[in-house]
Amino acid sequence: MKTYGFYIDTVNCSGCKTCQVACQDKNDLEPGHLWRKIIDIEGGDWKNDNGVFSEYPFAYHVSLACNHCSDPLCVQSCPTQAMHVTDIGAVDIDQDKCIGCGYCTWACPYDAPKLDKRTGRMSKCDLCYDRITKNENPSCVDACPMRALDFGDIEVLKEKYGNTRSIFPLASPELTKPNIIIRPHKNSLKASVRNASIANREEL
Amino acid sequence: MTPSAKYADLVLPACTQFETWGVTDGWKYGEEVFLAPKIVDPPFETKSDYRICVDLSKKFGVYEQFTEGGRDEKDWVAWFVDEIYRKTRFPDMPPFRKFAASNAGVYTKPVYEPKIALEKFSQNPLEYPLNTPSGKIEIFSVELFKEGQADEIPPVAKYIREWDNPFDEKAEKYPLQAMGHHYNPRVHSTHDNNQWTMNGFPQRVFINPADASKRGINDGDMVRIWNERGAMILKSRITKRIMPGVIDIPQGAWYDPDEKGIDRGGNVNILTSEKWTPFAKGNAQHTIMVDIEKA
Amino acid sequence: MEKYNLALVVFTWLTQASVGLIILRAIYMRRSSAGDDKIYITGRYILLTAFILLVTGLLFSFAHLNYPRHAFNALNNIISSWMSREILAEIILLFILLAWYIINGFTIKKTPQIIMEILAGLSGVALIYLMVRTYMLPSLQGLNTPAFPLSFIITPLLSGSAIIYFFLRKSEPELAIKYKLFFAIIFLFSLINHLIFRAFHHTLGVFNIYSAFYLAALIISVPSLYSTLKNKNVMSDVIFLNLAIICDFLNRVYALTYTNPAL
Repeated sequence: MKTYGFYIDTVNCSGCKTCQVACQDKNDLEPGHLWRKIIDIEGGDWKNDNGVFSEYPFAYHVSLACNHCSDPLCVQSCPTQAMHVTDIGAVDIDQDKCIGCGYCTWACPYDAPKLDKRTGRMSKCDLCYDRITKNENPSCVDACPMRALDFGDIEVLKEKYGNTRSIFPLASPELTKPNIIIRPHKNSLKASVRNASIANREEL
Repeated sequence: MTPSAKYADLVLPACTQFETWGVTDGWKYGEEVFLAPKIVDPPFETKSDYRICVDLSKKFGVYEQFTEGGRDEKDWVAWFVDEIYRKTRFPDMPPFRKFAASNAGVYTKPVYEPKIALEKFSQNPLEYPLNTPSGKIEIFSVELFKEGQADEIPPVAKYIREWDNPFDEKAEKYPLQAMGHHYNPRVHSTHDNNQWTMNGFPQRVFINPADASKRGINDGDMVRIWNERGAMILKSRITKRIMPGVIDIPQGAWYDPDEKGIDRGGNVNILTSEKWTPFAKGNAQHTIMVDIEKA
Repeated sequence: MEKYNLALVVFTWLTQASVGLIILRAIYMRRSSAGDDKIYITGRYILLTAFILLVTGLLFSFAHLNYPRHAFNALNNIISSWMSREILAEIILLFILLAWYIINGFTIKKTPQIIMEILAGLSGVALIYLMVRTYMLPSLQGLNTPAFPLSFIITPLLSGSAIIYFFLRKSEPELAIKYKLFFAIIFLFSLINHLIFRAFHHTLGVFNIYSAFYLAALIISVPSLYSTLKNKNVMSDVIFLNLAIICDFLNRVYALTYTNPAL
C-alpha cells in the first residue's frame, strides 16, 4: 500500500497563505477554521550601534496541515476510535463516532484536528480524498503560486527531496513519524540558538 | 458597505469583474495580455459599469455614439484585442475569437533572443542618441534645473528629506515613521471584506519590540496611533520584521470611524498628508510621522 | 488547549476530592473514639458526599463534549486511549461507591467495610493514575513537569481533609484538629506545587490573581491555626479552609491554562 505525504519547501514558501484559503474554499470551512495553517517563524534581532541599526532578524514560513503520521498519537488517544487510518493511509475522523472532546488536538503535536463549530465534532485534512482518487493533487498543492508544496507517495518524495522530517518549531519526528518531507530554510538550522519563535500565534 | 459607498447619495448595483468581460495588459511596458472572461452571469439586478452607462446613454439620447454601433462588453474586448493590441504592441497575438476559445487566459510575447538594454546606444551613441536633450545619459538634468525647484526637484539624483521626517523638531512630538505596505490579503482595498483572506492576515499595526517595550505595549494590545491629521485605534502585532523607529499599518483597510471620529478599521489614509508630491503630483502616502500609545 | 476548559478543571477537581475523601475516611473510621454507631453514621455521610462529588464531576465532564449525543462512544478505545481508561475507572469507582452505600445501609459489620475500602481505595488511586496519564501528553509540554502529577496527589488530600474537618468540627473536635493540621501541611505542599509550576513557566516574579489568593490564604492561616490549637471556633477558621481550597482550584486552572502545546 502507498503512503501519501506532503513535501513542504520552506525555502520558497512566501507565507502568502494561498494554500490555506484554497483548502478552506474546497472544504467549505468557516473563517478561522484551518485544516492547513501557515506558521510564521521569526528570530534574530536588531543591533543598535549609537543610533545606527544593523539588521539580523530572519523569518521563514511553514505550511502545515495534517501529516498523516505513520504512528499517529491522535488515533492512539481518541477515546471513541473515531480517529482512524483509512484505506489510503490517511488519518480521518468518523463523524458517527466523534464526541467532540478535543483530546486529539491535545495529543497531536501539530495541532491538526480542529473543532468544527457547526457540527460540534472534530474535523481535519482528509488529503482531498475525492481529488486524489481522480489522480489530482490536493487543492492546497495545486493552489501554491510558489510551487512550494508537493504531494505523492512518500517514498517517491523521499527520493526526490531527501528525508528531512522536521524543522523548528515542529516536534521531533520520532514522536509520531509524520509523512512530510521538508526542505529546511537556512535560518531554521540556527533557529533555536537565535531566539526564534512563532510570530503569528493569533492566526493559527 | 464600503466607506466610499457610505459617502454616496446614490448607490447603483454594479457587478464584479468576474461577471463581465475585461482585458488588461501588464502595465505600460508589460509583455503580456490578460483576458478576463465572464465566468458567471451578474446576480440579481446587478449590471456591469459599462451596462449602467449604456442604459444612461439611452436616456440621454446618445446610445449610438456611446456604444459605437451597439457594442457590448465582449464586443469591446474583441475590438480592443483585434484592432489595438494586434495592430500595435502584440502583432503575433492570436485574434480574439481564437484567444478566447483556447481558454489560455494569458498571452505572453515570445522572446526569441536575449535583449540588452540600450544596446544600439552603447555600441554607437552618436548614431543612436537617447531621447534626452543632450542625447546622452544625463546625470545633471537641465530640464529639471529649469523647473527652478532644486530643493524638491533636484536636477541631480540625491537624497531629499521628506516633509515629515524623523530628524526635525516635529519628530519630538511624533517620533515614529509610519508606512503602509501592500498587504497579502487585499488588492489595495479590494477583499477587505473577505473573511477568509482577512482572517489569515488580520489588520494590525506592526511594531518593533524596542518601540513597543518603551511604551509598555504587548503583542495584541489595542493601541492608539495618531498625529496632527487623525487618529486610529488598532490591535498591535509586535514583530522584529519591522525596523525600530518605524511602524507599519498595511494600506487599503476600510475606514470605520467610531462615534468620536477615531478610525477603528485601520485605514492609514487618515494619517497621511494631502500635500501632492512635487513632480508626479501623486499622494505622499509614506510621509507620515506618528506616535503610538496603549489605548 | 491554549484556553483552559473550566468544565474539565471542575471535573478533575471534584473527582479527586471524592477519591481523597474515600482514602481519608478509612483513617477516620479507625482513629475516631466515638461510639460505633456514631462512627458509622458519620462514615456513611462521608461516603454519600464522595458519591455526590463523583457524580457531579462526571456531569461536568459531559459539559466539555461538543457532541454529547455520542458520549457512550468514549469507552470504545480502552486498548490504547488513556482517556477511555480514565472514564472506565471513573464508572467502576462510581458503581463501587453506590454498592458500598447500599451495603452500608444494611450492615455495619467490619468485614465488608474493609473489602469495600480496599476496592474503592485501589480504584480511586488507579483513577488518579489514569487521569495523570491522560493529561501528561508528550505534546503538552506545560503539563510534562513533575509538578503536574504532584498536584493530582495534593488535591485529593487537601479537599478530602477539609471536608472531613467540617464533618467533625462540632462532634469530634480533637480529631478534627488533627485533620486541620494535616490540611495545613498539604496546603503548604500546594503552595510549593504552584511555585514549581511557575518556575517552569518563568512566571515566578509575576504578581497576579493566583499569587493574591495564595498570599491571602497564607496570612489568614496564622490566626486560624492559632485559634484551632486554642480550641476556639472563630470565623477565620472557615475563611482559611475556603481560601486554601480556592487556591488549590486556581492552581489547577493555572496548570491547564499554561499547557504550552508543542506548536
